[in-house]
Amino acid sequence: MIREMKIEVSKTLFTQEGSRRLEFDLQIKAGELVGIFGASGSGKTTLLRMIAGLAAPDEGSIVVDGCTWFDSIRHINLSAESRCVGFVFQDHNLFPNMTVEGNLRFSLRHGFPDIIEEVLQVLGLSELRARKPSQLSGGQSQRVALARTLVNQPHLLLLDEPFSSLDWSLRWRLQNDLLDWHRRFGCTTLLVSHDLLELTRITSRIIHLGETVLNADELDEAAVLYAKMSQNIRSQEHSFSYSGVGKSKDLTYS
Amino acid sequence: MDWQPFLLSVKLATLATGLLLPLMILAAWWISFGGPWKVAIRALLTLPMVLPPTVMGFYLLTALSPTSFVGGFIERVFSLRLVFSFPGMLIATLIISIPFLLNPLLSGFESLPRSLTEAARILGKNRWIILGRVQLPNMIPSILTACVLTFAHALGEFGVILMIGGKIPGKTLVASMAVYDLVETMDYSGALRYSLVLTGAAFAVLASITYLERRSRRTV
Repeated sequence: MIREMKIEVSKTLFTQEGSRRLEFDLQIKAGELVGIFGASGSGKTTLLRMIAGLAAPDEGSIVVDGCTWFDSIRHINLSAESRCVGFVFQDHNLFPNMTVEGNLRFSLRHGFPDIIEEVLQVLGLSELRARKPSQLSGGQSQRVALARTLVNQPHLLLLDEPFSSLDWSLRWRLQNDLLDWHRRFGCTTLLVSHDLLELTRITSRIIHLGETVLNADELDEAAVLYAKMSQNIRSQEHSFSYSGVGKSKDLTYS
Repeated sequence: MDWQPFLLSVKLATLATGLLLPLMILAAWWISFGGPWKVAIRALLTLPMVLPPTVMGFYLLTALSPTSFVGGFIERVFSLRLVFSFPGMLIATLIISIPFLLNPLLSGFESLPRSLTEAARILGKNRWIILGRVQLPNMIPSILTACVLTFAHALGEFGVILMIGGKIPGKTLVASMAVYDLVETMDYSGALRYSLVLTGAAFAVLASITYLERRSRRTV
């Protein structure tokens, strides 16, 4: 398990509205489930890609448990293959030529095939094991994408809008699956979403990317709503902290 | 009807396609990574498709003749004369077939979502595993298209291999040259028979590949 992760990166983003600077400074502790919130084009996905090694920051460093993954001054950039993170992409990216089980087997980094059965069972995919991705619904594909990542029991899990294409009930179920898994393995997790309600429900901390800062009322509304709705989620007492540009707030609701 | 020219044509097309395919897969894969030099290399490898066959034939005849460096070296070391021989025709066919394999394969690599490769990289897979397990199995239609284009082109190739191979019956006389010979001798019915067989063979290859391509699209 990751004990500590320090990210201090900046990158110029090129969007339709022009270029803007993404600056991010965050320290994550072991087993945290952190939400990254922001509007489209705020750099949420780019941030995850930089952590995973799929994109290089312009400047800064990423240090995980004392090991430097990226350092612009020392010209260190550990390859994506070596970082051993789990990444669930927004568009799933299942391998179309492989079955559900084939996707999981191919994903396994180390030889413990028993975990495949366990993950298939936990995520309710046992009956779909022989299907190809083209034969799956959006929700099923999403579960396979999550399963494919979980078979490796990653130390760091990066989730890029994993539930965005799902309907409400399926989203709810998969959020529960994710929380169950997180409770069980305590895997440090970064969850990107533009849905504040989702983040307040399942994360313990929300980082806000972007220029606008949410006001306390908006946060209160989201948190109270979920505290009421999610009686069996996380705990009876639902707490999280929020940090945006120039503003930080810790909230606790019961 | 003498079937020898057909057998020689099929042998030439099969060998050219089979020998060139693995090399062009690697070349297209390498070029698909991008880079400034690769634009020039891609243009160079596509040249045989746009140059007149006589120009290509002239270059190859000059390069493979016993008085040239390459042709002389091969004759000295392997006691093999490349001009007016089947091996020479095969080398010429390999070179002129490069763009017919390379371009569909490049399109295949480029049409694969980059995110598929990224997903495999995140899972710790190296480039060779990604090529063999993710990229190639997901571009089978492009591989089939490349093969059929190359095979069909090699089957009907005339200009370049005529200059390199001559048209020695039983040795270098392929089907397309046989049609030319028959027309020259005013044997139009013979030329028609050869042409119909060539047309039928080309149609059969195209139809079967189209069928296989459709099937592979359905199963992926």
